[in-house]
Order: sequence, then C-alpha cells, then structure tokens
Amino acid sequence: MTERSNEQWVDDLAAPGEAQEIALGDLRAIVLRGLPYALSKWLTPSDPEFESLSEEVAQDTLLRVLESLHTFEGRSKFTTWVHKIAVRIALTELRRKRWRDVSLDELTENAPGQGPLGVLTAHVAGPEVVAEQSDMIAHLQRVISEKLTEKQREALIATRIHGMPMEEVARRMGTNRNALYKLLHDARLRLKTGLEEGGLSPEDVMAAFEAG
Amino acid sequence: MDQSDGAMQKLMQMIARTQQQELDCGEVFAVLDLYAEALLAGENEKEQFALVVQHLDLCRDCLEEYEALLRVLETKH
Ligand SMILES: [Zn+2]
Repeated sequence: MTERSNEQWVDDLAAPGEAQEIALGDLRAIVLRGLPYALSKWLTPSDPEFESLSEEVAQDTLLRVLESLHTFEGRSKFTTWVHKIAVRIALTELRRKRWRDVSLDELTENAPGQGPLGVLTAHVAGPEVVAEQSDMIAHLQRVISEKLTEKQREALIATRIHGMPMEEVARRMGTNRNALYKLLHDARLRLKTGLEEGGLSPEDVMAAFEAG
Repeated sequence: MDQSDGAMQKLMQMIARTQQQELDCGEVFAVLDLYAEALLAGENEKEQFALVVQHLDLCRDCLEEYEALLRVLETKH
C-alpha cells in the first residue's frame, strides 16, 4: 500500500477515477484493520455478527468520507480522521442493534408507589434513614418533579439509570443526539440550581449518604 | 455502600461536574481526532482540551467512541 500524506489522500479521493479507486481500496483495508480494536469491548472477530457489521461499517465510512472530504481540515492525520468516522458509525450501528427491542415507555414507567425518578431515591428511603437524609430525599424529589420537564425526566432515566445510548433515546424521542445532550445539560443545571435553592450542594448530599 | 446507594452518588457527581457552558456531542466529535492525537503525543492535552475532558466525563457515548478510537490508534498497523 502506498504511504500517502494528508494532501495525497485528499487529492486521490477528490475526483472519480483510477486514483480514487485505489485510494478507496486502501482506505477500506485501513478501516477494516482498525475495527477489531474499535469493537473489542463488544465483539470479537470470531463473533458471527462481526463480519457483516464490519463490511457495513467500512462501506458506510467510505461514503461518509467522500461526502465530508471538504470538511477535513488537515489538523490531524487523515487516517485518524477516517478512524474517528468509522468508530462513530460502528458504535452507532452496534447500539442500534443492541437496543432494537427496547421501548422508552417500558424503561421510564414509574415503579409502583414511586414518584418521578423514584428509582434514584427509593433505595435510601428505608426505615433506617436518618432525618437529614430523608429531608434531602424529599427536597430532591420535589426538585425533580417541579423543575424538570417530563422529557428531561424520561431522558435522565433512560440514559442514567438504564444506560440507554443517547442516539437511541434521541431517535425514540424524535430528536437528535446533540439536542438531547443540550436537554440533559439543561436538566443537570436545573437540578444544581434546585439543590442550591434548598441550601444544598451535591457535595453535601454525597457526604450525608456516604456514612449511611 | 450497596449498589443502589451508588445511584444517588452518581447523580450528585454528575451535578457537581455540571458547568454553565459545555460542548455538545457534535462539538466534541469535531475535535476528537485532534484530542486523541494530542494524548498519544503526550502533549498537555488535558489543559488544551479542558472542555472535551469535561464532556467525556459526563457523556458515556462520546467516552466510548473516544476510547474505541484510542484503541485503534494505539495499535500500529
Ligand atoms: Zn457526548
């Protein structure tokens, strides 16, 4: 395989023709060699899913690279930029497959007898809980139900309690990952302010629950 | 501390780390290759990319992608 500089990669890929064909073939091989490492936390190359997933990812990556070639600024190595795109595509696809059968409703339904986000606070509400802790829990529950929107509560439960990936939550909520991040960021800011209004800091709460 | 107690601590850690201004996932993705290369080159990337570090601390999805990219780059093909 030819060693290419960033400029050579971009030049070769810029226009259809023989140089582009060869560069795409080389790039495809580079992507396919990286994927076992990218996916190692989830899949081994011997997994039956692996081959079809990597073929699909390699194909989509090459398309995406051609589409967004004009956005490559040359501030990193070209192949690093391509691996970044491949990783995003691979994990997005993997998450989609893994969470395919999970609905948001079943994840975010309140457990019986619990308020919104009750799962977060219910476990510490046993009889042994001291007064200070139960005041904190009550305040936190109030902040959660009064300051957060329904969507924010849903998104928090799905991502934080159930570990559902952002992309998956976003799709089910009819939004995208960036907008969902902003929604969650806003939720965190509201929780922070809500705690402060009750004269509490997250550190206070952590300290109170550390001992118990 | 049992496992469920951890949920409260995690929620509080998340709130404690929250900043008024944060990058969103798209802004982090835009510089993820630069950040990974800076880290591997041993530059003082933590300072230069403070907002990226903060985002990765709070966003599991971006962290997973970043770690996957590092695994790829750390392997010399
Ligand atoms: Zn993110």
